[in-house]
Amino acid sequence: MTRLGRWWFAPAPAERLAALRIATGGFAAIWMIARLPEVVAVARLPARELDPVGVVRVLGAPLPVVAVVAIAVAAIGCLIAMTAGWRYRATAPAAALGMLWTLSYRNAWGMVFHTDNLLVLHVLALACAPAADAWAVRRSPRPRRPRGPARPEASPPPSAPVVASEPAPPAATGRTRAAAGYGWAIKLLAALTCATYLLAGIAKLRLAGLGWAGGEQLRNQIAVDNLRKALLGGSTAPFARLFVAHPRVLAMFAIATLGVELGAPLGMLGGRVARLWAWAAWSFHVGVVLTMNVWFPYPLVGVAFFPLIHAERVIGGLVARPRQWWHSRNAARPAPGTKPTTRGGVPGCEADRGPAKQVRRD
Amino acid sequence: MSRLVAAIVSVGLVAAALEPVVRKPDDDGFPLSTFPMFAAPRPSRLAMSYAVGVARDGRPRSLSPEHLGTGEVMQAFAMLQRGIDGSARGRTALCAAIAARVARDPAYRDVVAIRLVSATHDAVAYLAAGTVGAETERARCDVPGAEPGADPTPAGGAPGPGGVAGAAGGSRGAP
Repeated sequence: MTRLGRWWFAPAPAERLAALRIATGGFAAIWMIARLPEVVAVARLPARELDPVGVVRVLGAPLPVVAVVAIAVAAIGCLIAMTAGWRYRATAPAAALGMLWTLSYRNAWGMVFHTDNLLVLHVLALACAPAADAWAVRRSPRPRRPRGPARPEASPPPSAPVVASEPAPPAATGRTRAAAGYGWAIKLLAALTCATYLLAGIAKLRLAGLGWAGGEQLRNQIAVDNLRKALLGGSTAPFARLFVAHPRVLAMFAIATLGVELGAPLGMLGGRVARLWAWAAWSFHVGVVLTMNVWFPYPLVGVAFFPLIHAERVIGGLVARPRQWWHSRNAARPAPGTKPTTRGGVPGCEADRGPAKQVRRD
Repeated sequence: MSRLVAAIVSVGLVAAALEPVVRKPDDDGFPLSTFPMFAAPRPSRLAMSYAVGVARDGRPRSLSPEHLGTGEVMQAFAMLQRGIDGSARGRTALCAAIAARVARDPAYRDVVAIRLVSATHDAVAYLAAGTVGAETERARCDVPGAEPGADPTPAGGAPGPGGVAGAAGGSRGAP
């Protein structure tokens, strides 16, 4: 295997990819729920306003409102299931496609927003990855209440969800474990994050050249953007007028912006360099809020940069409490008429032997 | 998943994400974007069309994007440019639709008419010094059910850069 291949497929814990599934899937589900009223509003716009982009280009006319809402609601349901890791191989692709369609439709009314691009790409990538091999609600055999006293050990149906804390063994899933491991998927998510920032930097060089770093372009962008909002009844950014009046400061911001965007490949180096770049990119978004009142929620809450860090350390604490609750619930309520099975001390819970520390070695 | 499949997925998605590099920079798309926002050279002169409410006493009142049928500032912007720069019939229909929404908004009971205007402002001068540019009225219509005031002629040009209290918030990731 080449050096690039060894680097790309370097092992990583299943929990890290699972943490990315939970963080990104959870954010996507919340984001889609929050955007639902807006999706309904644009679905009611006159047909002449339709200006399809992306996958929505297949449409010659707007969809009925009920169809738009049904797809969006189904996508939200699938995103929730995907976040939980439930029936992942079906729900994750459905969630990704539903979200892609809904947000493309949302953008097909005269204005393409750039808020959701990375989020959609991340969900698409996660849908292709084995991201539910840990920290997932999984359907697996579980003892069932017997129908009569003569059948104390009836055969268990595959219906009870369990929370798996580590990669399911082949016997549990009925298929071979992922030969590619989990590291490649995490690197893919990181690469998508870095690619989007790099593209934004390249676009500035292609459209405005190095002159963009002078600050005047940025000042005009800030002034025009804020004035447009003011004339349309929106709020202006808190520091807009201050910076418009002091263009020299904006020159530093312009250089920093180009540095962050063109330096995005540094995020692929991992470790401290990647974390530093992530902080710089996050700070850039804060600056955009303060000067332009333009919000990119996915990076602003930090989830967009989770592929660059040890996300399982962030998400692990959040997962621990519901897992404890689930385990204690199962431990306290064994199915009547059955012998509680104990694997790793948690009755009825397969593949649960405490916090997993396994790292796949391929 | 085998490494071959993982490699194909990886190369495919990364290549797709980088594909906009070979497109024209202003040929935007979703979710594969060239990210042209804030990139193109932009003069401080801003020519745009917008809707303004006219209060009973003649003062201009900023409208919110909700009055245009959307909760999003930049989408309201795009809709207004297309609507006002289109046909006279389209402008009349747009004006009437906005007026109908304003009529249903209790916070805008003092608004008796809607003006669709095209204007040119120097954005830097406007923000830094409050210098308002030239406006041209493109359409005007009454708000249904509103009682006309003594003189609904606007006393001034565009509403102030601060907008109005309770107006919509910022925009999301749009130029």
